Amino acid sequence: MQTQLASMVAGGMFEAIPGLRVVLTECGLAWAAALTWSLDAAWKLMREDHPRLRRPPSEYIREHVWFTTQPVEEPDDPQHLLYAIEQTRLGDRLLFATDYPHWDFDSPKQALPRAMDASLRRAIFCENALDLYGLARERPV
Amino acid sequence: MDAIDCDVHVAPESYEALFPYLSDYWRQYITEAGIRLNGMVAAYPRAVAAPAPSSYEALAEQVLDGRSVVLNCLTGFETHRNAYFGAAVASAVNDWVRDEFLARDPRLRASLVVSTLSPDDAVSEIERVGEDPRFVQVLLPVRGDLPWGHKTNHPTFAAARDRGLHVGLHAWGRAGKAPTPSGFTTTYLEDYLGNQPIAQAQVLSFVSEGVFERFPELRVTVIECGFAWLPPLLWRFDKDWKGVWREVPWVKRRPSEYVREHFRFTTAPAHLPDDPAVLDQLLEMLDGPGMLVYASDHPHEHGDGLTALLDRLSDEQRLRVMRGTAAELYGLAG
Repeated sequence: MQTQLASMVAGGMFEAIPGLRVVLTECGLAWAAALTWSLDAAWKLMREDHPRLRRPPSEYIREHVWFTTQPVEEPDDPQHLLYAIEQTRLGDRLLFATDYPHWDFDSPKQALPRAMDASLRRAIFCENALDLYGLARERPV
Repeated sequence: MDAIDCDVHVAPESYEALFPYLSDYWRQYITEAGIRLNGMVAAYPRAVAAPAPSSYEALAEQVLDGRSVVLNCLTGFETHRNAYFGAAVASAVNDWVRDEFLARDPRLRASLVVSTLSPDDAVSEIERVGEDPRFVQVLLPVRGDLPWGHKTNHPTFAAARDRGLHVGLHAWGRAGKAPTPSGFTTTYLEDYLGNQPIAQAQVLSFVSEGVFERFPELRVTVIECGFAWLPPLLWRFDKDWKGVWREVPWVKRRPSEYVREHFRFTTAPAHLPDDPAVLDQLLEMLDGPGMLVYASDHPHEHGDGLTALLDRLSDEQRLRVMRGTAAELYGLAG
């Protein structure tokens, strides 16, 4: 998934198709921060090779890419996952997923750290998907 | 404090420089087929300071400033798929590195290169030159035909272990191997960064195939593949191992424990966040810089990540990264 994301960005896909939104599914999320750091650092060295990229790679990811949470990474210190989410700057791009019925499904009750604040939890469980897919916020009567 | 630089490149200018170490058969083979070395200059157009030193004089002028150095010659990585040729080139490179560099300066150490096409040739080469204490590790390309933990490669690790050698796993590898599981890339940027997920797959392979249970003394230094990606990989590795540990009963401890004990990572490229506070978080996730060893990767240029990293470390941690950890690894004076 890391190489697919690098390919989409480096290949200029989001410059060519500005309205495109991509959801990366069943690969977790915490790896995104390190990938954006390395893409941005390498782009700084090699930007002349990439005339189609007008902005740092991380900005395309920030704008065009969503991540489902499962299988969410589980560090010994749950705070580290919260750091990782903060580092990705993708709090409004994370979508909860169970991956039911696979063996490594994530339980909605236990998968995310308890220390996660309520607004981020609500965004991941609900708001981000409503926004992405344009779903109605009120249940039909 | 003089650093230990764990990745400095040297390379012969041409195959002709290796002719004194090749038989008539291979000299004729190279000459008649017109085989040429492309060298890293062609592969790294915008971020190379100069060609890798091809003589001790060039190395001394470009690099040596009191530091100790581990020399890595990647010439064999370019070798095509003739396994006999691969073995002959590996032997010639080791003899050339020994005569041109190691014999001329006691601060120098080197990686021993081996054929990556036939494990029995790799074992023979380790037996031939591995007793020389100036060779400190066996150099393997991160891109191989099989993940390195595969049992096919265990005799190579046994031969290394028997001689107190470790493994250096270096970015790149034989032409013809796709840098992603989904195929070839379009741009150099993707190819360059492709080394990182490949290194991640190799970390999984070494641990999952039980290499460190079989060879507890073995250490693997991942060279030029970054390290900022490590914490999330270990979180996921431990989590999934908890789910399917029955498949790999020889993995007796949490995967992250093997990785912290057996792997080291060079500091070039570092590819770090710009915000120092985020860098502090990363160091906390890594449980400190204990797995990191300094490398310049001369003559390649990776940006200013090392400076950013060192700025966030204590004096003691800085000494460990620049010298102490590598000194322990390679048995050099601390």
